[in-house]
Amino acid sequence: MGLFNRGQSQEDKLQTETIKSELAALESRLDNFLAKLNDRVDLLIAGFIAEAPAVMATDDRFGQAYYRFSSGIKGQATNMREKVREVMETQIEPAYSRYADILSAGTDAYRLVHDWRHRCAEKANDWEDQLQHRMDTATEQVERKDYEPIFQDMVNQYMQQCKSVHCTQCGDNLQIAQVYYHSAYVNCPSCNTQNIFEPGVIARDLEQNARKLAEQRSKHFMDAHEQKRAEEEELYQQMHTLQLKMSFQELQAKSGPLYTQLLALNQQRVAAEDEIPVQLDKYYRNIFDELNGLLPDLKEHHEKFFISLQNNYQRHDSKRSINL
Amino acid sequence: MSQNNPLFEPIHGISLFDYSAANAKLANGVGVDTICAALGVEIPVWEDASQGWTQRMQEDSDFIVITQMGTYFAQAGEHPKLGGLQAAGGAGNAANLQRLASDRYFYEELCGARTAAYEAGMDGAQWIQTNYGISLGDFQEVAMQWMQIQSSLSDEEILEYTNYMDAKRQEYARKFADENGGNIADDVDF
Repeated sequence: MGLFNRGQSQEDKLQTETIKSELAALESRLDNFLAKLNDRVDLLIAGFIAEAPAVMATDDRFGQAYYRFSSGIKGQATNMREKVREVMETQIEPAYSRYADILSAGTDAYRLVHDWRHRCAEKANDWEDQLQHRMDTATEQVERKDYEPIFQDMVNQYMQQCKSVHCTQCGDNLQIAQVYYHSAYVNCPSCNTQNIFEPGVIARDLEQNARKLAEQRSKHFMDAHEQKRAEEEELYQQMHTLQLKMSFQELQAKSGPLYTQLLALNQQRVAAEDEIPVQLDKYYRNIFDELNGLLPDLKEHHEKFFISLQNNYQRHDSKRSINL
Repeated sequence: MSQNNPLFEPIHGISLFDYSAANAKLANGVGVDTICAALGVEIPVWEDASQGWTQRMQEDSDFIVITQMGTYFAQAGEHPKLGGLQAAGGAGNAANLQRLASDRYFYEELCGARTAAYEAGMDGAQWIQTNYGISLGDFQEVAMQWMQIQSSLSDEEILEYTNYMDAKRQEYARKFADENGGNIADDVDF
């Protein structure tokens, strides 16, 4: 009777072809639209990279001009992101709804429309991810600095400046040997008069630059932390793919070659997962060890700061719950 | 809680309320000399206390110091020694400031406008100062007041304000783009 093997009628085939043709045209317009936006992203990023050094070179110590400049660049990226979302909302979704509401689930036409919507959404998401990635990479490139010479130069300038500070009462040199991060009372070693020493902008920025240098010197631990995180995620995905291949019986019996493979993958995943907080801890510990070396007079504060920070990131430390 | 917690002990006689209110006034353009004179301390004492309070916040893993600072920041006008201090340029636009503190939609509109201004490469805080006579310090003081009310709002109310702010952000973004010759991809159509 053919009840369970019913072929498509001519009318159905015609309808499917019509839908297919309309959706293909829309998808092609989406491809062109995203490609044209990519050309603008190229222009935006090229301009950002070319102009940023000049903005930074004439900026104030707080980097306000660069902040405005980079916010403007990010604003343009946001504008393009919103254009894509608008197209998804006003062109793709309505086309999907128009057919999904009238087609029967399980028909070829329904599957076609459903797959089309999924594909378009993937294209838009990939475009957004790619935009974000490119913006992050460009920002990193523009903002990258070697803090070794910057910090050393600041220390040298501060020490040089201290040599020429004299007592307001007797005129003797105040012989300042320690770092003052803000204005401070300094007693004259000759007449004991209390002077107010204003260390200037360099000393005020020293702590912040020491922190950046310490972060720079500790970056390899952060890289290792992120690598372990990516490794764990990849192994988790592999496990998921493997589980989809396994039969219900294999999963229930908890045996067989695929199950053994699954256990091995999980063992590797757990090892990577255990390393994630270890590497993060090494990163922060190394930052504060470096800071203790760069600014030894602040060691007591650094240790308290480290404990506070550690309490926080350990509080958010979580592991997957996997029952095999 | 704060009375028995050593993290709240004044530093060189400068309490967290002094420190928070002083920062609200500094953000409003009041000079550090004026602040120190009102508190009765010299600049080195203020700066050491200031550094000390920053360190306390960094050492406080429960964020109770910074949370309390936010509350005090919003109450800067009530500080007995610092409350009445004004920047040299004057008190700004009192009517707009009053509206900012009483009209949530006006506050959300200016939040949206400020974000749009930054995204257009402008100084958003300065834009509010120029157009509404509200300084950054005053704006942040009012922001802290709204933030404290936030916890008593329903999810629907929060969503309503968030959506309103975003709609205003987009409206101002269009306005700023028009004033600056448009966006880089305005001519790219679907």
